[in-house]
Amino acid sequence: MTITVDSRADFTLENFRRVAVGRESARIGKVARGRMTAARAGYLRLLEAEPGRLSGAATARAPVPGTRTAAGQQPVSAMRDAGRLSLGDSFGNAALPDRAVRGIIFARLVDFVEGHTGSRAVVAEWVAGLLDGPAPRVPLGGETSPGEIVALLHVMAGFQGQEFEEAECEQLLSGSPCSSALAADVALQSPARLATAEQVFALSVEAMNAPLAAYHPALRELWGDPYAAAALDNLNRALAGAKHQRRAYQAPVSYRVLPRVLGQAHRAVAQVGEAARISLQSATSNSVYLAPDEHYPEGRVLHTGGYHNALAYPALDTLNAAFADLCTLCDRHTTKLHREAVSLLPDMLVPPGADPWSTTARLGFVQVGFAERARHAAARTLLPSSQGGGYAGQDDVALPIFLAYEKALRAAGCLDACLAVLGVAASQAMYVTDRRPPAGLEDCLEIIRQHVPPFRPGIPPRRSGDEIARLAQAFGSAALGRPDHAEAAAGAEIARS
Amino acid sequence: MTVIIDAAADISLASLESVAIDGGRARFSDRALRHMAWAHEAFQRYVDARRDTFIYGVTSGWGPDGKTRYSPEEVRARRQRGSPWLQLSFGGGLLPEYVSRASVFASLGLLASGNSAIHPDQAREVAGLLDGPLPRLPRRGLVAAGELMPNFVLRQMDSFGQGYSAGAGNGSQTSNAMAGLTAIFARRRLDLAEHVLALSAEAVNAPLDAYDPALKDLWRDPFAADALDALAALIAGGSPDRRPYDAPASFQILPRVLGQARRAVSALEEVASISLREVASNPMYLLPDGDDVLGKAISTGGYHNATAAAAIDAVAATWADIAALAHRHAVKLHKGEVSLLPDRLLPEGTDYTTGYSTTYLEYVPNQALEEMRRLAQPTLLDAAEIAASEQDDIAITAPVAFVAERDVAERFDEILAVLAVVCSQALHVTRRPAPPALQPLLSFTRGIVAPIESRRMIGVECQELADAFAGAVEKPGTGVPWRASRTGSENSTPPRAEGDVCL
Repeated sequence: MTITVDSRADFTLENFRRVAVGRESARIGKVARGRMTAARAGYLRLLEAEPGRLSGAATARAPVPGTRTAAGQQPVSAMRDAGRLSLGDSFGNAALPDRAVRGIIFARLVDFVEGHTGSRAVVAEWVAGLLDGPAPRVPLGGETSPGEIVALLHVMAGFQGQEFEEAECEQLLSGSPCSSALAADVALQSPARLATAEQVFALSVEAMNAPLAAYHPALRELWGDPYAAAALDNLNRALAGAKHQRRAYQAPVSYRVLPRVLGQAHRAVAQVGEAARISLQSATSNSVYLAPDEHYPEGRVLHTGGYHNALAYPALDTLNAAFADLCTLCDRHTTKLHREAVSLLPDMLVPPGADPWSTTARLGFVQVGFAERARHAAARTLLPSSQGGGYAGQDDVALPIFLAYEKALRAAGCLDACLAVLGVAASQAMYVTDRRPPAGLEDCLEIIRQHVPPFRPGIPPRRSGDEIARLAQAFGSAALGRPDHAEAAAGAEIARS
Repeated sequence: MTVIIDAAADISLASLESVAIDGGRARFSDRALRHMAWAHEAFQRYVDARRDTFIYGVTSGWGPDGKTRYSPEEVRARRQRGSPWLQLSFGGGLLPEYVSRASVFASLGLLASGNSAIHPDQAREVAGLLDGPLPRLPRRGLVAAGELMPNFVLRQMDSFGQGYSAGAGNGSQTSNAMAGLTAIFARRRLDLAEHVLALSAEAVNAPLDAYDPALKDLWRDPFAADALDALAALIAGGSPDRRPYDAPASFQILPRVLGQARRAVSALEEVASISLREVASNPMYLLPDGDDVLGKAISTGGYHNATAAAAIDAVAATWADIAALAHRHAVKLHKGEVSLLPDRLLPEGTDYTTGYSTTYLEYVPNQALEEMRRLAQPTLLDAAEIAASEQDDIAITAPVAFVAERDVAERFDEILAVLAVVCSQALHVTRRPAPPALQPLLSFTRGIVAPIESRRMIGVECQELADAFAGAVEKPGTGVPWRASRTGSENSTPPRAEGDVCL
């Protein structure tokens, strides 16, 4: 299938998913081609009428060091003059996932389709054509710069042979398509990942025999928080039909606060979704061409800070923190399920006749490393202090979206791992007490046991770490909505690195 | 001024400000008192009928003793001996009294709802606490499972009243109050920041393209749109002769970064508003309804506000980002080759030996900025077992975030003061006025820190300006000094009630 884009309204999360994850192509529609052709003509008329304003880069830049251009006089655009794009300078062992790179290419088109780059339609078609080939490698390491130019140089590196005209090259490299795409990539995965978390936590509630009052539907109205209400609904759906006879007194706080903490995770997921949806439809290039209107009959070109997407990286940060908190709850639940004095279950979840150290007794240790890494991944992403050699003090603020995104991959991978460990502990608790979960959790328990069967007495030691890793990968794949595990494995790799 | 509480929905940002900050009182409406009396009576019947079941704190012990069952009479007798703890917390000095007032006020919604089953006389006592001075909470030692630690300080004079009640003080009122206070201050602080940064854009003669209203449709971000409108209004009437090429990125991206700040503040206001009017405690009495003639007591995690810390953190982070821009502006304004202003803002024809300027003042924010970056880290759930009780295994987070944001904000005010003084100097040495909407800020700044024309203790004056900014943010009185109108921080805070209000 091929997606046709005609306006900014076509840059939806669903279309993003089809292109980035579903690997569909994109084509420029007839309407968009018409608008771009008209915009190019208008742009060239402006260029002719106001050469002092536009020539030399439609970008009103400060003089580039080393040139003899005096301040206030416009230098010739280095990239236009060179007639080609520079190759990427940055490097790093890790790289963006292919789906994210495809997403960046797709998001790049939003500045073109309504003519805001003032470029010819063919340039947009070249960009769309990148989606028909292999995604270029975009290394993570030295990509953080003012705007997104350093990363975009890698994305656009395939354009070495094209003949660009005035200002077209620079438009490929300005704006903030990377922020849009990386926020969208996380926005696509997060709801499913949170749904998995709710299933596993509900299984833990069932394993603990926690009283269900803490999840009473009446709390929806009393709390008045739509996100906590969503968490309450999901927990209740999963636990519907659960055994009525529960433990006689409250479960530990880490169980009772679940709907509140999961509610915050829902809020964070919604914030990332909002940031992604807004960003995908934003025209952010610098400069930006505006078609003629009643106030500006010739049209105009504005020089803006659109290249700095300030909403995506904080949204990712908030989600990373929410995931780190869920990891902490996984850690706490895993420990408490194994503590007879707290859980009222067999101590260390050991079935009769089994060696205590041949079951899940050590899983509490395993949680620590992942949960702690998630906390590291939740570190705040702030505007970098360095001006990174910004030319003549002009390009003096770098955009930290790649830093936030890399942490988002890590936080997500850690959450998948922590959920896998908790899922195995809950499965073991159900096994040693010979209980079945309610219908809403049967599939969840089945997936867990497909990868990690219960630890039974008399079974030789297993490489349970490998089994749990595969379960974590399965959770990651579910978040991506794809049956194969390759992308999830890449995320898990970053989480472990 | 007395705020009348009829229901939990009456605990709002506006009423919180009225009572906690402006010193108003709070009273329950007659309807609320009748409702509480009815709920209290219903709960007594419920306890009589369910005395053999687990009702946290009524037929069980509290906290680590929660698993132990007692008769209601035994529990009541234990409680009437009073809490064994009056105050445990200490450290870091004391928070302002308005935090204590806000916490007590924020608890009144739960009481009015009837879901705590508190006797109306006892509820009146709690509201009456606001008639006099309250003990101040320490900055540290407030974090445990739920809010027992602040309660030990604030509710030490509580009587336990008549009959049985359900978790009347075991909600998340201090967290809710902290979210509310931070939201109130953040809106005004952001307003101040927009004024100072707009003055900076004017001082550097930044081209107005980057703040053009046409960008609203291009970006389609409602918060960036509001920031664009605010900047455009503040700079309107400024110098018509702008620099011939782009200002540095730190000036160009202002509407994007300020838009994000507006988003963060708005999100905090939403979280705070929801939190303040929520009915949450442990246990919670679900009132009789229809066929359910007795109602039901349930144990919940309502005492844990999971949203406040994240929302406060986001505001603290945005202060750190804006402060980074503000410092960059201060540096660039002194750098003649970038600003196209007199280098180091020295008067024409002078140098270091003969002239005076604000240069070297740009060193001052460096330490504060680095501290802000550390303080703006996220508040996460404590990964440790927090106490000997393995039941109470997750601590609240809002006090950590609240105190950190206050520390961040203090430094933010200092950096804004530095930038305001530098802008004032830039306009002074180039003999330019401020745009009309920024003249009050410039006058206020110069009233404390006059343009530098001689050797002076500039740091002392800047501290005074920072303190004045902070004072206006926390208690604006008749209005904030950086706005032309002294009728309050219009467009920046919710309308405030006057006189007795029934909200």
